[in-house]
Amino acid sequence: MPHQYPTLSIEQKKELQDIAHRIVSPGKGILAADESVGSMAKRLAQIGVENTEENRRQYRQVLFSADSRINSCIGGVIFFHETLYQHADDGTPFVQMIKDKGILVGIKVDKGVVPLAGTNGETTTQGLDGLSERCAQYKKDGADFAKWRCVLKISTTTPSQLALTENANVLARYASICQQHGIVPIVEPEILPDGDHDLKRSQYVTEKVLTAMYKALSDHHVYLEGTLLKPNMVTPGHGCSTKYSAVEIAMATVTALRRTVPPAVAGITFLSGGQSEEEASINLNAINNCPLPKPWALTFSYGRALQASALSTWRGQKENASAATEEFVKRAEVNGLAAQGKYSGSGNSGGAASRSLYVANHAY
Amino acid sequence: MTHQYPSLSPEQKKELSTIAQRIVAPGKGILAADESVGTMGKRLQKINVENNEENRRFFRNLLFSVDSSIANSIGGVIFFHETLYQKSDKGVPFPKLVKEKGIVVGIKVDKGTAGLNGTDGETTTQGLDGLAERCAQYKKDGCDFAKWRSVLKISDGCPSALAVAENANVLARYASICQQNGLVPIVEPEILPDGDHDLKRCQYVTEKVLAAVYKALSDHHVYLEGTLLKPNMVTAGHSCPKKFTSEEVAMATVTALRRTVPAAVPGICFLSGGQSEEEASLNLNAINQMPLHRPWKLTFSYGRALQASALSAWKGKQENKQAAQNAFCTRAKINGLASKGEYKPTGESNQAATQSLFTASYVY
Repeated sequence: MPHQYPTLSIEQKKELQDIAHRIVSPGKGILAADESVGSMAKRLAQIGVENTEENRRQYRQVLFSADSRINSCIGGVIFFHETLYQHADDGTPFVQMIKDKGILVGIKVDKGVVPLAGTNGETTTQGLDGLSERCAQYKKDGADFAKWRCVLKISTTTPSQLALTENANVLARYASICQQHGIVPIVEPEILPDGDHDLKRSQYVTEKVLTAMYKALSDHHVYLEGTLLKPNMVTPGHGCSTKYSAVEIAMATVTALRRTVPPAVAGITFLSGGQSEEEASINLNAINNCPLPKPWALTFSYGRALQASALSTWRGQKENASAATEEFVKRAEVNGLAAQGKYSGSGNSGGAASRSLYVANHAY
Repeated sequence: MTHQYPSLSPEQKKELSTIAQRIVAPGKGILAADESVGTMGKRLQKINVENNEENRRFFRNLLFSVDSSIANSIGGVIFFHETLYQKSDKGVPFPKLVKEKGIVVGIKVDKGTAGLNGTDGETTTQGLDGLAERCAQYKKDGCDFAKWRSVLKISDGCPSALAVAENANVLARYASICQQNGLVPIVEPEILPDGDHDLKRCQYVTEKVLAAVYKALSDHHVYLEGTLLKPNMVTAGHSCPKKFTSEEVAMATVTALRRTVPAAVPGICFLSGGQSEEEASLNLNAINQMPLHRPWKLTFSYGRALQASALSAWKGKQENKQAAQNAFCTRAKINGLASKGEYKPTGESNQAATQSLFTASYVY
């Protein structure tokens, strides 16, 4: 322990830090377009479209052909492996289309969840085998950041200590390997919103999970300034009978992060989980208006919350493509504002009204 | 793990966070006047004064009876047990004298270091036995915060994993017990400056030690907003042949803290270790001028660095009391300015000259 062995050179650190900061520069967030083939199946089934490689390509083209308006609200796009090597109708590689907009290219590198025997249905995530070589190749092919998703759940018996430490460890290994190849790792320890637990319970579990994660990152000598965090917001479980306001969610979320995420981390890009497009924007906006000091950028890394309207407008029809693209651009701009705390909501009294719900003495 | 059991009520949390913020209010730091009988012996021997109870009382009285304006620079005073029950020349109990100036009273509660078998001369700290009862009594007797010092050292094989884990654990137990009794725990994991290691090595070890401390605090369910940290600055070892500037010390220190100390911690009060009075002030000033985002207060908790001149002016003679008090007040004011990055040492060429030594792109 007492001796430091070389991990990254000064130049490597600088490159990673610059990439991280570019992704989360003010007003920008991430489009998570990295749905696996299986996940895309679910999305396309909902709009009655067949899950073929061509349809997946057409759909991503709808998103990537957005005009320059997204350049100021999207800092990075996360790709799935297949998509990284696809092209637009005119032959332009998707990677190039994105980079030409000044947006950074990311790649999902995990290989999905696997069960942890002896637990109550808990999982870890696989994908470490040959990860070093894959990262080197992805860097050559245009990727500057990566993403790896771990999953935890809240119930009377979970998350267990094993699930906590195993997922934290595997995220730290992934992060360490990425950085060796000039790739900024987005670390995603998602705690599912399934269950009837309340906001307080979610906050407590989130704090424990994030603490374990940052301890693991330290143990694995990961350079924090060259990482991003993709956590869940702190929300009650879907089946919780108590309803909470955006302001309460924001307070619980920011409090949990202040207690666990070192200021050196460049940015926090929330996942949208099961939230609707509008909910995800309103909550992000409330988070950015939370009066507690927040030393990191707080922005979005949304999949469904950026694409739901675009998907349902497209419905697999070429003639709907530009209208669908427009839906995506609208959500991107809204979230760009929310990431700065400047989104006043879709027609409701918005900002001021929700701020007044804040109870100054509420101790979390 | 998944369930939160009650530790502190909202009222208890509010009391603790209010106390902590008062101690580190802008421009204020801590006078560490908690030298044990043995340690006072060393200080008094240097000025040829006998180490008896009256002399110890006289010197502390000298410090505590200065003008009330001292409260502009001193937010808290740490007492040794004996001193807590001593009185001023006019018969006013010391805690009352200090509180009347609007300064918070603290108490050293550890009982010194104890050897860790099987290590290379490493230690843990004792004092947990009956600590809850002692804290309750100290709270009644006027204390609102406590201090506990753990010690680590850097050498070829140190600090060992055991020393790091054991000291982090014992600090977390102490912190947990204090909070139950309304005392804000100052957590002090001091890494000694002895040795010939360079700045980088000290930074590395400091990061590992602090990561372990904050993991332990989380595991023990300590309320971070109601704690303070008292770490060493990141400096080279005393016998390191290379010399480093205040800016380099500041950069290494702030970088290490940003990577490990959650933003929820209200303040970081540096120990002065073996630094001279001026060195300790210059370094603190440089720390507060660092262009990196610092979400906690960065101030002082100085013993020798506030008292050295006062001690040598006093020399045990009644007639030197005023001169000694002036010396103390001068250092307090200087450190108060340094805690805001506003200290301009006279005789030194302009600040701009020193600021230009800072290399903006230096990556640690």
